[in-house]
Amino acid sequence: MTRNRFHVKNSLRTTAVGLACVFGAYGQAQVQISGHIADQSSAAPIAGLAIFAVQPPSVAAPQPRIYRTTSASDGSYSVTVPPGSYRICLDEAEGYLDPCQWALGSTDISATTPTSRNIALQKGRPLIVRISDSGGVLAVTPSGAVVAPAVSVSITDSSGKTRLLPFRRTAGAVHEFSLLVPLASYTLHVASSAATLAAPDGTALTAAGYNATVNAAAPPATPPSWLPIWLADRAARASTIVALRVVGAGAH
Amino acid sequence: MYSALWNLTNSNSVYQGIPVAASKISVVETATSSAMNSSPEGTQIPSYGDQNTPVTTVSGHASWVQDDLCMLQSLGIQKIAYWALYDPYTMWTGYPWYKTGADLSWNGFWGLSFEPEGAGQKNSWSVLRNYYYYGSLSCPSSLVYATPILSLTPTSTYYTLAQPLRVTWTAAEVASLSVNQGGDNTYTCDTGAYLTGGVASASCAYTNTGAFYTTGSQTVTITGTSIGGTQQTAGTTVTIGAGPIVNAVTNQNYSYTIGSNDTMIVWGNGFSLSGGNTLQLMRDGYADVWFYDGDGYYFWDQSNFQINASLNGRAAPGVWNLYVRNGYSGTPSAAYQLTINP
Repeated sequence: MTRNRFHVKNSLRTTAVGLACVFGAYGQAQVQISGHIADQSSAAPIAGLAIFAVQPPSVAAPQPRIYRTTSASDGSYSVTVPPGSYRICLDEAEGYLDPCQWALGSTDISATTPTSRNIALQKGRPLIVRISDSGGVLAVTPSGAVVAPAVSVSITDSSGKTRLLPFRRTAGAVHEFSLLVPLASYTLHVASSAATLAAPDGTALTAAGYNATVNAAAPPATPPSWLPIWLADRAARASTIVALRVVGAGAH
Repeated sequence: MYSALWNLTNSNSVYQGIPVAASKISVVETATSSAMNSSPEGTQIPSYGDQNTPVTTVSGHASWVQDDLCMLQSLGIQKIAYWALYDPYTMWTGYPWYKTGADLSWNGFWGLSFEPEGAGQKNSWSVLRNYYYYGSLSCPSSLVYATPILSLTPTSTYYTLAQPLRVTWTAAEVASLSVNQGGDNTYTCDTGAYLTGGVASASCAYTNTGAFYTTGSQTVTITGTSIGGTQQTAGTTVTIGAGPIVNAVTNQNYSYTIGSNDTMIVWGNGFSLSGGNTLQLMRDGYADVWFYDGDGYYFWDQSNFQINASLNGRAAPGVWNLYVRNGYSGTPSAAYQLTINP
């Protein structure tokens, strides 16, 4: 018992495992899931990535249990969990696709004994929708409960699955929505009941909004020759960007 | 630049320049990012530009120009001309470029005067103008180490117990930096890549600091030390609570009327930025419904303020209580009453 108690304290300090998870595991036998996280293309180790071993709810344990760890500088990771079935999910902040969103089942593990699992991650590409709103039609109230402009932005993939592009920020007069996606084509939907939007070519859109195919696998467009190179050559991370603008209040 | 030099040095040009031998001309380029001040002086956007171009304040800009002029003067170079690449902010943010302020901060140079002329002159312009017109320049008589210029901004002003904070910092004139809460690997602002040389190797980066284990108001500070040992500290205050806070729940169209097959967007504070959050719907007579990354449906939780989860008919129409957990504090949010429509 004393040994288990020490383990709980140590976990809290070093791996920031959720309290509920630790207490749920209290007194149970533990196994270790470990391995390396690497880039699928280059095999380079990926450091500093938040990794989650997710145990789905069951009759015996109706609450999902999520055990968190972080990959080390050599890409290695390890997480101590009660024996069971797990799904390895991860933070997409480093530009790698979360298998739990894009390749469900590919990282499922049965960990009844210490288990080693190396994971190769695929890079995604940020699909970014920028909406220029120089008139402030979609201005966000910073103190409001909903901290986003009233624009619905989503994509549908080839399987028919639809995902929202979350609102990320307003910089200057430009609202930005983005989602990390696999290199593929999507149908992009952008609509607002609060504003009339214009397509990238300047055409005012109807209430149906903007519906177009976007190819996130295509290389970024070549910048026009008249664009200063210091401005055109900025993308540190290749992105697919769709630029729309607000041309009036209320849906057209 | 070629045209400007030709006009300046060729007496036959329309500007009747002064003949100067090419070997006597020296061109110096100095640049800095847009100021951290609020509009119209700056963009309030920390950035990380070419060659670690520092972000600083308008006062920092003025110091920079003054130091440059003093350097030239100390070398005996007193005949100078100034050209600025100046592009209007409103041009680049509008049609057809639609650049964001962040793009412009990283790449743009907004000159020494304000875009709205009526706003007056930037401090740096006054330094240059006083030197041009009146020969007035205040230079130190001996070597003086600059005072570090620092800024620290949290991604959120609310965190929960045991939840690491993420702070963005910018710094100029520093040889070393330290954060009072400690921090993990530090990432550059523009690429998300590690700073391989440590926290003092760039002008702008973010780091995940250690968590607080006491509720209430807490302070995070960053201290910079210059090469000469001069220190400066910048701080920010955050609120630490027991659990996450739910402020609102909408559907994908930002409507408060939520259908059973909608995607719900949970708005609040204290969510885990790196994922690991869970949503729980509770209702008498029904089994709890859980939403989390890995549940087989669309789930996005890479924000302190927003979690998106596809309902996919998993919760029957009716009134439910929603709870959010962030995987750190163990304490769920207070119940948020949510009506799910057919």
